[in-house]
Amino acid sequence: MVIALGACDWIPFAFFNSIPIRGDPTRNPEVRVYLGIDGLSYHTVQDAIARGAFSGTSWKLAKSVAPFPVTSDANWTKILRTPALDGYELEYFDPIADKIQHPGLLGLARHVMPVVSESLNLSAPCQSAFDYRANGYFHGFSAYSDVFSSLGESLDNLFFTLEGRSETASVFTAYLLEFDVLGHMQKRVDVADALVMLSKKIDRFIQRHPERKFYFTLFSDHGMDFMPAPVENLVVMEDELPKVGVTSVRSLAGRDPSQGPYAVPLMHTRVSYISLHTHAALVSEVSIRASQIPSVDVVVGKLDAPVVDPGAPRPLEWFGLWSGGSLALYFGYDQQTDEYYLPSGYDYSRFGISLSFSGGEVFRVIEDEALFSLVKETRYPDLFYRVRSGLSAHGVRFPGQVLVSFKANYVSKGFSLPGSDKIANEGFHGSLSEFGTLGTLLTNERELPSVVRAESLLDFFPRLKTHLSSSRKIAIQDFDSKLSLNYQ
Amino acid sequence: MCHGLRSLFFRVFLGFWICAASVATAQATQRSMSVGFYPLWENTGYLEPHRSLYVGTNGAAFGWHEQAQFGVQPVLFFYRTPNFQLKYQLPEWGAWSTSVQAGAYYLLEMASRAVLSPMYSARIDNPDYRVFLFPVGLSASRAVSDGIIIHQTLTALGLVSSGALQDRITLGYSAVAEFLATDHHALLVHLGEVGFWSHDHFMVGASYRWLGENFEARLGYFYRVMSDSAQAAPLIALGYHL
Repeated sequence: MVIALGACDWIPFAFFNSIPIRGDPTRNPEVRVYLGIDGLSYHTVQDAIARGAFSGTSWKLAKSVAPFPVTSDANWTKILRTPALDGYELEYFDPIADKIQHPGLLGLARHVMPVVSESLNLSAPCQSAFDYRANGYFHGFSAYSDVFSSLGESLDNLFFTLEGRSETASVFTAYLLEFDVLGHMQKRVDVADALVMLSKKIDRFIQRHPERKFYFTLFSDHGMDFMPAPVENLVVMEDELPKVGVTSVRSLAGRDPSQGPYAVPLMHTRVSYISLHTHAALVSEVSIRASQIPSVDVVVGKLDAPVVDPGAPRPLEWFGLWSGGSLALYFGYDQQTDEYYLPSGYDYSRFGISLSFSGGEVFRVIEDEALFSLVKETRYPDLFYRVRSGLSAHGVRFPGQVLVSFKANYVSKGFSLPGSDKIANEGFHGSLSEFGTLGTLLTNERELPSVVRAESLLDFFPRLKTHLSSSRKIAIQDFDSKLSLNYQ
Repeated sequence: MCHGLRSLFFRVFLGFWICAASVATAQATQRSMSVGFYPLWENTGYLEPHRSLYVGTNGAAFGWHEQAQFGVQPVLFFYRTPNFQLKYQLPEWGAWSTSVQAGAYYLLEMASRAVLSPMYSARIDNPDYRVFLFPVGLSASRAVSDGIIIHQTLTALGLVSSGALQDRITLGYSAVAEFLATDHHALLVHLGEVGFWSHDHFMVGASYRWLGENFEARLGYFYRVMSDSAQAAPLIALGYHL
């Protein structure tokens, strides 16, 4: 089969890439390059800048607050507004079929399996947004087996392709996987080293192509916490749930919720969150109990009804946040006005939020823009929007009903491989906390606010949006008409 | 950690070909290559014998009266690139067998995006325009000693497009040294320069060629090096001599 594949794509790959081409710089005097860099943390960029990378006043850096749960496939989908996924990851629970799809090692293997054809493609549709996304059939293998070598090859390929494409194109999009792999498997300084290397390549490329004006924008799907998890902190939720009285199941049909709480845990990758599916009537009970698990920081889920009726003019959506076995906070959301209803009497400082209520004030109603300003740089950035969005069908058809966010240094074990479990244990993402959430938006194309919602990317860069729809043939989705901000 | 599964893969793959060769027919003899391995820029001074047909993934060629050869690159037909080549034997020049070849490749819209796997991207992108390539090349081959053959090709590649590309002619040169270990096995070293004074890229690669009585297989790895970037990729060819 490999022979047949080689006879197919290797030959035209050599042929097309050996054609010397020149375009007319007057037809595309400006070229905008958008690099989607998996797992590039805001803090890593700061490290690299401190070492001289991306120097000059034209570069603008913003914290990019990643959607929750903080995981790649779902986040790229939401950021690039590509067609929705079935679940946050390849492995997901299908409530219609009442079964876990792509369970076990298939989901893991997807990360290294070559995509031999679009028709046999297990990659998320969001990958189609990129003009360049891999350097061949064995890219996945090489990225995980020898990430430094793979990074060198990827950067070479990226700039080789860019050099040709920029002869005729005004916009070029590319995806780099290795920064995420470096974050999971190496040290923070290694990621910063790699970024310094990328910065130098960008500078050199710009210098060697004075015939056109190049703008570069780097954006990421999430950050990286660089908090190693020792083997004893690899959580198997299937084993933890029974300890707090929740039966771990693999399907929901035929069960009586009055007989006790149960849930389907999804655990296929090594990330610091877990999604649970359960009976709608059991969301609160499962959440309370899951929040008692020692490794768990916060559990979020939808509430059927408010604890206190705010007397809102319209029915609201209600969301709860549980911690340590009790409801730590809840809030309502009015979809029509894009307003959040925050109740008094709760310890907002638990979430790093400074919010005081006047005497007799039962609810504070805050519009999304103002609330973003209030919570954008807290320990749980953009908490309310991210909880609401994560539990809604924004970019995923079957979102979890309960989302479990782990404490620092704890992570879902996700998979077992023969030999040691000390694999990809150096850094993580997934949880609600700022660690792993703060990704990057770095550009020399325009001014930026200091903090942005990651899903705002296409609002900031309309040419990218046009390129995705016209050149990449992406049907741009409007998952949440309320996500846009003015950043005033 | 190993030095990359890719390296392991190629070691295993090479081992496979060597094993396959060891069980192949013993009557095979080394044939002269009438079709280059690397597309567009490589060729040889040799032609297929009269009414001989070579069908391979690197090209199909039909010899006519030891004077002419008609060829196509069949794989490119599946990638929206109809093409053909004509090759004519020139008089020997000293010990050199020489030939001249002219070809035509017509890249229909979206040809560059026709790769099966999205894991490959081309530097050229022709979503809404066509590209016509017409290479004209002069090739010379000779055995410089027992077991060593040199192939050289000087090519002028014309490019005309209906879109954003500038129409131009680019000069390129390739050289291949073929080291014949036995009748069945050969190691080849490839070098190439495209553009010269208007430099585009240079190419360097190595390949292995196994030849059975009729069946032929080649496996190589090539680097395309530009001013500030490079690209490396394997290349394979399977062919049959009729």
